[in-house]
Amino acid sequence: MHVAYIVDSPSKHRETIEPHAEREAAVLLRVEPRIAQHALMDHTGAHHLYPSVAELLRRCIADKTHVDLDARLGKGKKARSKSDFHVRTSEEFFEKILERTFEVCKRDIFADCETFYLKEFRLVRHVGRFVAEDFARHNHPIRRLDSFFHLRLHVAHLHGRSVRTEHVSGLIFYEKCILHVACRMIFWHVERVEVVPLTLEEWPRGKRKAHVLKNTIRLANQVRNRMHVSRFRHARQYIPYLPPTASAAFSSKREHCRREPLFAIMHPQFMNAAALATYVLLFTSLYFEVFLLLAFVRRRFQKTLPATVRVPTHFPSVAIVVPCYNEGRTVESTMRSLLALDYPADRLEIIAVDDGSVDNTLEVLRTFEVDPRVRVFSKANGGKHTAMNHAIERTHAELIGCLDADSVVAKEALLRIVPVFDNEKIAAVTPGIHVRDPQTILQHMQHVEYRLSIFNRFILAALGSAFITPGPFSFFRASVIRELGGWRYAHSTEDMEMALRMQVAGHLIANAPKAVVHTATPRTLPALFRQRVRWTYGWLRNAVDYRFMLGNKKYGNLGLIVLPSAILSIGAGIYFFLRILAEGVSMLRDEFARMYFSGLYVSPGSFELFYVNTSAMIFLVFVSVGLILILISAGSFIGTGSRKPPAATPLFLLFYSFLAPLWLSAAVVRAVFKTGVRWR
Amino acid sequence: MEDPVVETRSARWSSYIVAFVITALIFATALYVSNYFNNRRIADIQATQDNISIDILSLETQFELLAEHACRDITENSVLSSEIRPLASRLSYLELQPGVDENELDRLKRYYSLLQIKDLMLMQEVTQKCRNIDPVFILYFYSNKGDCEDCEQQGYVLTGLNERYPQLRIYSFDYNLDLAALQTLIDINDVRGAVPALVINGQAYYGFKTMDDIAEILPELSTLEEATRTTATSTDR
Repeated sequence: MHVAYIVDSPSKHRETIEPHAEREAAVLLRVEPRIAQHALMDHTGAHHLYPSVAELLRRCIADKTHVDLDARLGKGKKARSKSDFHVRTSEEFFEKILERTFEVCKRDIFADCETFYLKEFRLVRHVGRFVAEDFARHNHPIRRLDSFFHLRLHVAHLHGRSVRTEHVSGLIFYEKCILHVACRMIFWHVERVEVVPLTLEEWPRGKRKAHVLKNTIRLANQVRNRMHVSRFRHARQYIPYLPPTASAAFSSKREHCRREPLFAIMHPQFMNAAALATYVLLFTSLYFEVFLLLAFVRRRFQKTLPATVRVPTHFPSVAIVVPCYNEGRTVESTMRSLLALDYPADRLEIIAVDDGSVDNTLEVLRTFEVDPRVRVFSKANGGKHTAMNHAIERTHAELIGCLDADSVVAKEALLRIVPVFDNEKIAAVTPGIHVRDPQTILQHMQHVEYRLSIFNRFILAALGSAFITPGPFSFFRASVIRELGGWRYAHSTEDMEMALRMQVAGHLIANAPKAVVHTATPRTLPALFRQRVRWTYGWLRNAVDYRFMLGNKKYGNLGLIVLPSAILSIGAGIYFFLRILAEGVSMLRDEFARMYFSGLYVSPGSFELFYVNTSAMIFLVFVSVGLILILISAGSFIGTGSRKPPAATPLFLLFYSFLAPLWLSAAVVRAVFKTGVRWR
Repeated sequence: MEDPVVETRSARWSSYIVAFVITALIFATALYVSNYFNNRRIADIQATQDNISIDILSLETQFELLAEHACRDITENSVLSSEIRPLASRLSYLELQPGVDENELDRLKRYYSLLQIKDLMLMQEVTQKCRNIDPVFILYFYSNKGDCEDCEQQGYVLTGLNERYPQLRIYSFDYNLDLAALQTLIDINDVRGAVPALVINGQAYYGFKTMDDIAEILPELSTLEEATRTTATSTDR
């Protein structure tokens, strides 16, 4: 059945309504086009055909008829055929809830500037929401009814005659929906608001509608000088009503709200968690940087040791082991640099161990045997740790050092290291390692990285927390090595394991940054990748083996902050990389989508100052990068005496953080699955 | 720098505390600076919106005062201030920024939507009265609650359309914005909650619409295009 409900103000309150009260024809229509057409024709010229009605009717038949409603004003009203309408009685419609009213439990009146124009220029006193308490209750019987409601506004006359009256707004809304209304009560003061069921009556009912408008305008002119009629009419267009499909609309809206997002990553909770994780990682990274920098500053002011080179008071016997595996190409320069060392010849022993090389390494080494300081051994391949153990078993030197066959040392390097062992507690001394003859961009970036390492090695030693004794030119007290049982395989990172073992045993590891050694670095990315995967893998596996040190106060700074931070830095590196990657991909996708769908290749307004990212995260990233720059500069100062960082520093800062996560991730995966790594 | 260096392993708690305080200060400063710039942005938008509001009000008043005489002074672009369009992208940019006061942003969005509605109404009124103006209105309802997959693309299409046809009057509204006037507009235009929704010439269209789809719905676009080209040609001269 096609039903048309055309609603006027409720009759039951009719007697209490002031004649000049503003009452609108609020409309709910379920109209078949034929009926709509009829209604339209029926109401031609009716003064009560307000814009809302007209608009609704116009839309009902929009595609079929073009009727100038305004032009029909003034023409005579035709009789209406009742048979075309089926109007339910109020009893029928509100069988169960008749006469029931609901107190409005929440009434928000927006009074800020947002609504200024509505208030000032649309003659609206109240713009707000009205929520009836009972409506908010779930499963209330009225929710099951196809019910519509008015607001009953208990108002007092503004003119101060103390005439209280009730005014029922011309607004209709559907069950529990929050009502957004612009109550146009220019001349009323609202004291109480109620929600009442809608009463339906046959329509039209009263010629006085014609008066209402006239009276209202007249009154408006009295109160607010020269009220413009057209403006008043304009205001009328703001009669809110709910379309017949309102219930469907709201239910579909709710469904939309419930729908799961397509990508979990776009979920707000995920985004919040991600942001929180970012802040936590940023804080810890920053904290560690600040901690190191503070230690550096404190160290500088303490000046516990003289800045000048100390001349050794005695020259202990020193053995330098050169483990070689297929190093025929580089070992010659290594051996030459060792032979050029400024150290008494009778106190220096150079032990070259060929670890089963298949190239000409052994032949090259043999050529150096003419020097009485050099001894060459050859053994089956077993790894660097076996070569080192092979050497220590064959020497009686007090100090034993190691020099990788791809490194060369400065002439006075040994003289910088030996005096450090005057301190009986010191079991090992690490040098200052620099990149040897950097050529490729990658090597230049590593050059910067090694400066940072110089700082780290220096400051970790200052904190008593060195946990690596790197292959190039680290020296050990031979007795301690023997006491600790020699070098172990230690996941291909025996230099790290030895340092950790020394720390556990309570020995100290010092750093002599002026003992300069230059080491060859990988020229290509794959070579660098392999080297760093081995390092990181070894570090992770050793960290697992020595996990009891983590957070252990017994090991001082090493256990409390250095080791945890070193592990966390791996996670942070991967996390930040993935985050940047995800955002980069998302940005690119958006840009492509924008270009594809808009046909615009330049985003309008994208270069404005307004769009410069000023989030706290960006500031923190900049601060963090700035601190790294300071650390590099400090590393340069420690290593070379010049505060100027290497020229490739910007490249390092820009790109290295994108390269490192590649091997970090690979190493983490390998460490988890314990795949093991090879030297080459 | 001294050489060599070594220290005992003992942890100095004061170092930890000082480092923590410094880090916390850095964080606080970063948050403060970020907040400061965000507030500047919001103030910037606020000022722009106030200006637009005054512009619209002024024009409306002028229109009311002069009635039909104002028609010759009003062109299609004079009502919608040129500043109102960048506002939309600025607001959506701010929406993505962390740390922006959500209430303030919401207020700005509501204000912006009101300005748009205001502009729409005024323009409709002007259109009714002035015969020399025949603008094409497109109302665009979107949602950014994650329930509208096509809204982003639809936004791009409309941006492109707007750049191509500057005379088009495109108004975009957040369907879920808690604003009485907007909900009324949604009701009046019979938008049923399925977003993206376009209201073109009073008729609601749902789902993603490409430029071609819109061109099909709006044959007037070809006229606008010609007008744009003519303008461009005359500018070249």
